[in-house]
Amino acid sequence: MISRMKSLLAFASAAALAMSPVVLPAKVQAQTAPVAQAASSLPAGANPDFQGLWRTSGRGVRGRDGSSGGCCSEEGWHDVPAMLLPWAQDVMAKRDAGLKSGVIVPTNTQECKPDGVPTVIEIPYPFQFLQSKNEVIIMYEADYQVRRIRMNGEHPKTPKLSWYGDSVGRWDDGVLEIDTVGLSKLGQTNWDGIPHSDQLHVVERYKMTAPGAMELTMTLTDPGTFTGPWTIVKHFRQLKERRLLEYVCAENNRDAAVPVE
Amino acid sequence: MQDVKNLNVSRPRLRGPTWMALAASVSLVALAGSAHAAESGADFTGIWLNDAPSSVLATVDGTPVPLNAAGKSAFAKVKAGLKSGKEIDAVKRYCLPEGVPRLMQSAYPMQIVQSPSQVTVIHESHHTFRIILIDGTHPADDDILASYMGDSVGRWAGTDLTVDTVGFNASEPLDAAGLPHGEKLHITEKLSRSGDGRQLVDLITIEDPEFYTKPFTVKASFTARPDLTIEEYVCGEPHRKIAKAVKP
Repeated sequence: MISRMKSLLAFASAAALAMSPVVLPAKVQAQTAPVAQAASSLPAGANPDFQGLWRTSGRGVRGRDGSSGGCCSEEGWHDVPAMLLPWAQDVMAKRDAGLKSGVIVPTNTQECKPDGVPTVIEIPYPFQFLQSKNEVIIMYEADYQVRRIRMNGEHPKTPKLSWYGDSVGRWDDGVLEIDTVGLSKLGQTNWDGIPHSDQLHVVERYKMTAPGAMELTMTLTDPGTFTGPWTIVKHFRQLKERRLLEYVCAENNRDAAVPVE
Repeated sequence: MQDVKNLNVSRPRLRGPTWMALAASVSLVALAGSAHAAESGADFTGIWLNDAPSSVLATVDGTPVPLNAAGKSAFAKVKAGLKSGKEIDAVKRYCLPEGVPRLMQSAYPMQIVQSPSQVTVIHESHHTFRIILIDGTHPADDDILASYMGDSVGRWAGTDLTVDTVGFNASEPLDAAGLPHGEKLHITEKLSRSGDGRQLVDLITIEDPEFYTKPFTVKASFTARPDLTIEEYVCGEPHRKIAKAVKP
């Protein structure tokens, strides 16, 4: 599982970065990226500037009721089946059995398929927001994935199904709300491979909670897969660095289904 | 990914000592550059389409590409290999990024997004992007993560943007014909609007003393296409027929 190992390596090094007592010369410090301001510190009517690099503050994603131990926590997806319809439970049970037997059922992430929405949101590599009046673009370090959000746009009546879906956005009292439909069932809900159907509807609400700190509240609705709406809260911190590094999944990357020679 | 187990290309090498060192150095090296608004500059924002996409590089003055002896030998070897099947075009076969400069010659549209501190070029082809830090400086040689896109910094000179890119890996040739390059590749680009302002010209100067006797310049020219959007491009899936899709 090289892809996962790569992730863990980067994860570990990022943790080291957070802990390393790097003392910057004053001149260099002055050149760091501007810190995003919390919505509360902005003049009335102004939208916060999310531009810059962000990464997760940890994998501590919360369960549907806000409790810990739900999807994507360090415990993995084992608490999830309760909210999955039987067909999706079967998929996960097969994956689980594969992990035990060694006949792995690889996830999209392990096979270098696009993470797509919403899995890409969970990948612990940095990402960058670009903002203009009409568009918000999110660029992810993981495999050069890019999402486009049409601000104040509307979904087409029958969106073409794709990995990243059709995203429209709006500002709601300083909160960036992104609404995504048209997500192909080829995609998965997270990097543990929880499936979803073409009916998946993702609403993300990005809020600046403090300078350089961002909170995402994401609600997944998919009557084809989940027993009810599933709300996930995730925290991000802004990075001082200005560059996303290159990550190419297709590069000699092997997944667990292919014997390592 | 089909054929993944046969994939035998070198990975971008980390020239620094360890990942840990990289993690520590990133915070030092990545901070250079100013976030202040540029005094000069032009607006390149929008969707652009290459006027004459080509997978093979040709010099702007029509002279042969100035390969030196090592370059000729490497080029001949790759050309023969491509013909015999011993070499493969990893971009097409394994979905690897086209990298710079090949990416700038793509038939798929690209989008430029600008802020005072960063010019971002987002390509439909292979869903890749280039980040150009305005008034930035390259990381020290030892801290560069060799990559397909390289490390790009830009500077405005009036309404021209000069982009300086180093830090390439040597995993792929410069173009589909197999023109060689090494890790010392240095690319300088001058981007400017031309004609009635609907054109964007990128003069790309390629310098690599390992394989070439002197720098040479190729050109990519683009037309503004606000009617186009950048669509999802997933290697291994069928894409839109680009020539038909972009007919004005």
